[in-house]
Amino acid sequence: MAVPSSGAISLLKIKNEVDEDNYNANESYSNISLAGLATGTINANSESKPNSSTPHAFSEWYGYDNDAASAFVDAKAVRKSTGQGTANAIYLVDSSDLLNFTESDAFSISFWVKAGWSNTLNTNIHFVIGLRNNANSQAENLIKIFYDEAINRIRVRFGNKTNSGTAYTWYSEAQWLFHSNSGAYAAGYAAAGLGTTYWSASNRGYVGADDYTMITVTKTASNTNANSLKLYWNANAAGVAPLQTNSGGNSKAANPMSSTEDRLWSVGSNGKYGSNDQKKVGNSTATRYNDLTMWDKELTASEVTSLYNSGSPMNATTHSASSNLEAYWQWEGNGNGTVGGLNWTIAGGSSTNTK
Amino acid sequence: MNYYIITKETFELVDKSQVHFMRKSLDKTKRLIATTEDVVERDRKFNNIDTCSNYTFTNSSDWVGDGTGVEVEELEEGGYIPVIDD
Repeated sequence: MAVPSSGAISLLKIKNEVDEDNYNANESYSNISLAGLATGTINANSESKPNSSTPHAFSEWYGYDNDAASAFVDAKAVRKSTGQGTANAIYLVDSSDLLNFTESDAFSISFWVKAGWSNTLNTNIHFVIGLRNNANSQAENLIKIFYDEAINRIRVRFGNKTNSGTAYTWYSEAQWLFHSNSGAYAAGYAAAGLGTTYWSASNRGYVGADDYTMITVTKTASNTNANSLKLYWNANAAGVAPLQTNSGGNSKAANPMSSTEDRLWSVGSNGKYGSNDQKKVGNSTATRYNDLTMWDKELTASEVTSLYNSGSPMNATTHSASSNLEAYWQWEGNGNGTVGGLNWTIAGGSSTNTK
Repeated sequence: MNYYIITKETFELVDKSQVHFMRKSLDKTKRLIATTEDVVERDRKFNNIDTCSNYTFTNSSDWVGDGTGVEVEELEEGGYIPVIDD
């Protein structure tokens, strides 16, 4: 509750607002003064607030809100350099187990991407990837969302590898392609709006503001195969993937993804591929990524539509499913988490910049 | 699994149902394939998946537009679909 914006106001109640975030809290205080309050800690997010200069006046406190949230700003995004390697990567190590999603979990990952690659990339560009920290192979505790430019598909894979050999390795992968308007592929074709030409900086398909596309992948907990995944392009449902692979199923139960091993997450590069760390970054111009959210539930179609917000990133902390929002990065000048407390390292030529 | 570089024309003649991985060269004239078929008409045959991958890194400008190569794990992932990916 804020200080009233007009009429008679009380010094004691202003103190209650400052200390209790509640103008009407009725706590008792002594030795308080306008000068002492105005020169103390003031919430700069409040549109109305006193200045610290003399003379101090009651009217300066009209409308002051001690727990006012900061206004939502979406002016910047993170730019992934086309430079290869960890020296140019965007990455974090999650030691908190917050984002240790497994094949048995429901989760959703959503982000905005502005394609910077050309139609001669001819390889994968990794959007978001998590794997076991210090892994020997990309396949360990893997969740990855990547675009395979060579064949115009978004591919989403999760799985695990605990040792060499098929007895220790399994994965499930869903693939959506966008250039065929027939049969099971028609949903992806309709969702993306790319036509028969592959996705690139010169053909971005359906976009929201500033030429960004919101990509959302959701997973249900009801099964552990590739058909547990759904894809949304903006708010357009591409549905369950028309192409699904479930490999090494016999080893899944014996080698489940760990819920306790630390994860290395990367945006815009591959995390790891053999000995080639943080590559597959695109070409031409830098690809940019905006608001990234991770949720511990399978977002519904209507919740994805709400998150899309008619094409402009919204304040995800105000989303109807915000109680399931595990992590949220806005890239407004740094890689710090708005929710979740995990901060990205943004190295070398990568940077937060204007959208 | 066999790993080859073949011409676009030869690729039209191979048994697509046996092809596990296919990548076009950047100039679209060649095909890098992983297949269970023995292909006689080939530009290059690789002894194993590692030499195949290494070749694409060494000759990146022919195959991968970001200066890298085709990773071993990409070759393993496969995913080629006849007609759709041709």
